[in-house]
This record gives sequence, structure tokens and C-alpha cells, in this order.
Amino acid sequence: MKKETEEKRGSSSQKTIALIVNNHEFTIAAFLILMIIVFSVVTDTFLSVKNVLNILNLTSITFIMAAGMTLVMICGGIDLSVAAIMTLAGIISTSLIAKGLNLWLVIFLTIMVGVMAGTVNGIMTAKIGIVDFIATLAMQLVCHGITFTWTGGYPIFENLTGEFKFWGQGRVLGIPFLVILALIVFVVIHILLSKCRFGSKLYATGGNREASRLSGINVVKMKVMTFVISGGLAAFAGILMASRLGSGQPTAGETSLNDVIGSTILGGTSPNGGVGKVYGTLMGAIIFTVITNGLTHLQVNSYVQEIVRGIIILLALALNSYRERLGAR
Amino acid sequence: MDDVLKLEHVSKSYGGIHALKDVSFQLKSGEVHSLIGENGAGKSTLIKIISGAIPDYDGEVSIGGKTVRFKNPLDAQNHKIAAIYQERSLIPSLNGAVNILLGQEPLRNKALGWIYKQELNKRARYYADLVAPGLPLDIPVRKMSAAQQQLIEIAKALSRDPDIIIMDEPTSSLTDKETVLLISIIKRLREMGKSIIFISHKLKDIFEVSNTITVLRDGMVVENSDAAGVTEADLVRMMVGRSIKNLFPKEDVEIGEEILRAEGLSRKGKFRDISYQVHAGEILGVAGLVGAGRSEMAMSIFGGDKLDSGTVYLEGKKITVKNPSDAIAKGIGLVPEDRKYQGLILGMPIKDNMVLAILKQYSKWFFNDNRKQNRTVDEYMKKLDIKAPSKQQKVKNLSGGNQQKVVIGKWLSVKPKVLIMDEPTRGIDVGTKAEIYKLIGQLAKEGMAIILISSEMPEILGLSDRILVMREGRIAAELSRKEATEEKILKLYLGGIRDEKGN
Repeated sequence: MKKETEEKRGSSSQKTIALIVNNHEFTIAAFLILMIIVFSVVTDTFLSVKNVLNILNLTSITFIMAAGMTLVMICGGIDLSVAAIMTLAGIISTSLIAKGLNLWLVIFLTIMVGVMAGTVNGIMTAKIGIVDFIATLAMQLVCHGITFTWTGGYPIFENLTGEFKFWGQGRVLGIPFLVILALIVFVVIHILLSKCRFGSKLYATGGNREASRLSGINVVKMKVMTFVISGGLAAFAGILMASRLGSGQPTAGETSLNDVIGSTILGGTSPNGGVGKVYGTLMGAIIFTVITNGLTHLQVNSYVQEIVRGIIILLALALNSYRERLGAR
Repeated sequence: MDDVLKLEHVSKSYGGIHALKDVSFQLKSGEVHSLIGENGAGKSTLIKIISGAIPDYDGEVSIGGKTVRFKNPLDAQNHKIAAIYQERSLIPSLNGAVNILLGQEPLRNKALGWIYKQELNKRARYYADLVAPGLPLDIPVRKMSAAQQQLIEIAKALSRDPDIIIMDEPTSSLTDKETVLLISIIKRLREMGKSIIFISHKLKDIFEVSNTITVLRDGMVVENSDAAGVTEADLVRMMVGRSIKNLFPKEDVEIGEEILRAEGLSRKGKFRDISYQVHAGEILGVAGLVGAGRSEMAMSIFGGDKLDSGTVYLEGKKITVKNPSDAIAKGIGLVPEDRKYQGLILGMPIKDNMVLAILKQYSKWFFNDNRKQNRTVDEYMKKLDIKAPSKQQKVKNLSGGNQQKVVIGKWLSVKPKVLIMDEPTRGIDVGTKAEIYKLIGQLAKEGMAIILISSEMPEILGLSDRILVMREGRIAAELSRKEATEEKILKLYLGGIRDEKGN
């Protein structure tokens, strides 16, 4: 009798743990709220209007890239070139604007460069069969090299138009335009994943490539598409970053790759493919920005911040695998 | 004879559902003890407890009279228990010798971990010869046939000098001839004094090899008897709890127009000069050994692999199938050989799996047409009697039989003119098998042309209108339903023996 009740208690507490751990969005939302409370209490400056807007601005750019990464990871891949594409896009867009080209043409051309880089990534991995890691690492190197050859390491900030700066600095009805753009990306990708044929095919391809292929899905095309979207969004993010900073900075993307991968994984997307939600990624991106920003307000050294971010990525991954193992039973 | 292994009143439950309930089981020294039951009857759970994979259970396990409780599989290995699971535990890129002695390599120098290669090869050879003299050990395991890999797996188990060997479905991926070899090996192991727990869905193999048979149903032991004391019909009745009168309800169906015709199909190194035709309402059986090129031939017709030469005609018109999506559009379906690797996305729900091949037809614009999808999924879940709490259930949580029904449902929803079924009943229980046989008959009656590839002789003989026997990539013979017998087909298989090397 006693043993039985013990068993019951054991299993019910286990169930509670399982419920919390299983519901990833719930876990990270709770974590986010907790952090906001902590930072608000221990610093005076964290919860100011100015700072909140700053956080939202920073999140927007990371999120736009992470949304692309989410698609790549759901398909079972990884894109290490996003930060380098973003930086290069910043340089290209500012250079072209400085030369007096039309803003819309500049945006189109810059995104096209990202799309092309993504296409090359996709063909190298999906068609030719190079491991994602290596192919996109090479692409990162190429973009990085072009950036520094082009600029010699100096930022480009002359002759930028106000029209260009509006994209990263302007507001519409008091809301930063950046945030509006990020929300549009969010809604589009969310619909793409949850309502469209593309989403169904993507989850399937990431879940089991061979079974998907034999069900008539063009799995090569799916993978190329994810890299194309990822490259295009990274280039778009690069334009926004340059616009926000008011200059094309060759070092703009230094910490971006970690933030993008970290946000995606923290959001519950599995690096093994087949699993992931873009609203998880959105929350992941907010968490990453909040941590960086909050620690800065606490005047924590930026290297120590890196340690914290690294540990959070590891914890998120550990939670992910624990959840997968629970699910497997 | 003594009991080497004894389980007393063992129970195990997962969240209120009993996987095993008060199970007692004795394994005598030097016997082959078969464990049978439908999928989900509790065989796997029982095996996992014995091999240390499940440490928390109620009841008692004892070895040689001493109570034990294994904390992990290594613990069980140290007690001289070796388990050979359905899923292979070999490393594909390494050769046979290294695989056999993995983790117990002889060393020249302990501190450096310097492997004594000659000694390793010698010892591996010794264990391999115990199993099958002449088994090649110097090629990577991935280049071996399924049967050879199975033999390597057994040699690997023997290298740990076990007293108890557990074999979980060792014959499910083997052809009849290979099964005969494996059974003779099991008999030899018994003569060496090993005690063996043998699990199989193939009753013929069970009778061939067992001393004792235990039948499980719904987590309980329903029968424990000498192999000599029961008949096949008894076992089937005990497993399913009802008797299956007619396993193969082959109806007379009027055979209609020609649907698919293949002429001179070839793919280098796989099959050569394959020609046949199949008509509406006809079931064309394709028999042959594993590696005879049957699955490869099917895959090429479906567009999964490329054809080197040959022509395919569909309803009299010449077609070229570029890829699976093309095949689906033209009305060709394939239930693939390996349901976990090729058929299903295990982490996704039943619904998402079932609509995978019809996403294009069931969408408006770029968007999924959810209502239409749900209606179809509901229809086929009902038609196929898929047992699951809801269509949102993840496929990996279903039993093998229900998983297979999901794959079949996926292909029926495409409404193909020709359905190729590659080993549609592999590794599933007798009850579900009977349902699938009935379904195949029904589909033929509705006018579908069916190509049935199977390594199970009764299945081929019981269902087919015509039978192609393939050997080494070629068609060895075409037999009508009337002229086909088990002996004839076996002889056609064996015709290839003298050309085979290494075996």
C-alpha cells in the first residue's frame, strides 16, 4: 500500500517534469520573464523605454537571420555563412548607396547577392554532397575575404541617404521600422511552416530524407530552397544593420553567427532536423538580446558575456536531447 | 537439465499500461527456447529486462540460482548474456574481423593501446569459423549481404563467450536459403552447450529449431510447452486469441487489361533484361533471394533509381519515369522494403505521414487543404483499421503492424493504377498479416494491378496469380498459380548456387 502511493507520487512528479520539459515554448517563455524581472530589479536602466526599444531593434536583426536558420535546421542542415553574408551585404548596400543608386535597386541587388550565395551553398551541399558544415564554412571565408578586400577593413559611411537610414532608424507610429519588418518576416515564415505545402515538405525532408524522396518530394530542391531563403534573409539583415549603424562595418557580424545559431537552438529547433517552430526562434532571439543587454547594463565584461551565452547554448542543447530521449520512450 | 535463467513474477508497466504482467520464464541449459507473440505482446520488454536494457521492473530474475538485477547491458554481458537485436550493431565502414572483436582487441602494448593485428585476425577467424567457415572478414561490413552481416553479429556475440544468447528476429531479413543456414548454426550453438532465446514471427523456423515454446499475449504468458506438444494452428490461435481460418483469402478476380509492361529493363550490377507485364486485377508475385535484384527493379520502375536501359509501358503507352513524384503522377505506387528508413517519418504524426504523397493534390494554391486531408486520413485509418488514439499520434509510438498500415494508407490515398509492394508483411504479427492479405485481395478485386515482392513463400504462393522467380538479377522463370509449388520455386533459387562465391 505504502509502496503504491510512493510510486504514484513518483510518477506524478515525473509527469510534471515531463510536461514542463516537453513544452519547450513554455520553458523558455518562463525563462525570459524571469530574466526580465531580474534585470529590471538589479539595474535602473534596463526597463527604460529607450532600452526596451534598443533591445527590440537588436533582436529584429538577429531574428531575421535566425528565421532563415530555422528553415535550414528543420531541413536537417546548418548554415555557417549567414554572418559573413550579412556583413558583406552591409558593405555592398552602403557602397552602392554612396554611388547614388536608387534605394530599391540597391535593396534588390544586395538581396540577390545573398540569394546567390545561398544557391551556391545549396548546390554544394544538396546536389554535390559536401557536408553543410564545410561548404558553408568555405562560403563564410569567401564572403569575409571579399568584405575585407573591398573595404581594406575601413567602414563605409560617407554619402548615405536619409532614405537609406530610415530602414534601420526610422519609426512608424512610434514603432521602430526594424521591428515592423521583423514581424512581417515572422508572420510570413510562420505561415510558410504551418499552413503551406512547403512547410509540410520541409518537416518531412528533415525528418527522413529517403522516405520523403520516395513520397515524391524533391528533397534536393527543398534543401537548396532553405539555403536560398537563409542567404536572402541574411543579406536583408545586412542592409538593415548598415542602415541602423549608419555605416557599412566590416566587423558588423562578429558575434552574429553565435547569436543566430543560439537563438534557433534555444527556440527548440533540433539540429537533427524535422523539428522546429519560428515563434520559438523569435523567443530565443529575444532571450539572447536580453542577456547581452542586461549583462551590459550590469557592466559585465563582454568576454564574460560570451561565456554566459555559450553556457546557455549548451544548456538548450542538453534540454533538447533530454526531450528527444523522453519522446523516444 | 538446470535452469540457467529464471524469471519469476516479472512485471513492467509504462504509465499505467502493463507491458509485462506477472511473467515467469525458465531457460534450461542447452536448449533453444522460442518466444512468440504478436507485436506489442511484450517480447521486446522481456528481452530488454534479461539483457539489462531495462533496470527497473518488479519481480525477480536469477541466473544459475542467484538473484541478479542488471543495471545496464554491460552488466548483463558480464553475466555471460549476449543479445543480438533486430537492429544491427555493426560499424559499416570497418571490416568483419574488427567488428567481431570490437572493444576487446588484443593488444601488443597495453599503455599505448597498440593493436596486435595478426592476433586480432586470427581470433576473429576462430569465432567466424565457429559460425560459418569461410565467412569473409577482410571486407567492410557495409559491402556484405544482410545474411553475412547477421553471421558477423553472431560471431561477435560468441567472442564474448556467452552462456545465454538472445536472438531477436534473426531470420526476418533473410531469404529461405539463408534461413536454413542460420538454423543449422543455431543447432550447432546448442550442441556447444549454449542456451538460446529465439524470437521470430516465422512459425516454420520456430518449429525447426525450438525445444520449448513460450507464447506471450498482452504482456502475459498464455502457453509454455514442449515444441513437440503443439501445432502451428495452436500457436496462431494462442497468439491472436482467435483462430485464423483462412490466411490467404484469394478470390477469383477477372483479370482485365494490361496496365504495366516492362521490356528489357537493366541496371548495371543489379538486374538485367527484365521483361514482364501485369494486368488490372492481377497479383504478380516476385520471388527470389535477397540480392536477386527484386527491390532494385521495383525502385527503378518507381523512379527512385535510374534505369540503364529498357522501356516501361503504362496502359499501352511508353513512359519514362524521371523520379518518384513523376511515378505518383502517372499512377505508380511503391510500398518500400524498409518501412522505418524508406516508408515513414517516425517523429511525425500519422496524418502528416499519410498525406505526404498527395500534398500537391490536396492543396489550394500554396496552402494545405486541411479539411480534404483530414477526410482522406480518417477514411483510410478506418478502412485499414489502424489502431491509434488519434491521427495526431506519432508514428514511432505505433506497433510495427500499424506502422505498415500507415505506409499502405499513404499509397492507397494516391489511388495508383499499379501498386508495387516490397515485403509488405516483414516483421509484423500474424493477425495484421492476415488483414493485409485480405486488403491486397480486395485491391486486386477493385481493379488495381499489384506487384508483390516477398521472401515468404506461403505469401507468394497464396496470393499471386502469376509468379516471377528472380535469380542474380535475371528472371529465372515465370510460373502460373497452378504450376507453382514451393519445391519448384526453391529449385529455381538453388539453380544459382554454383555461381555463388564465398558461401
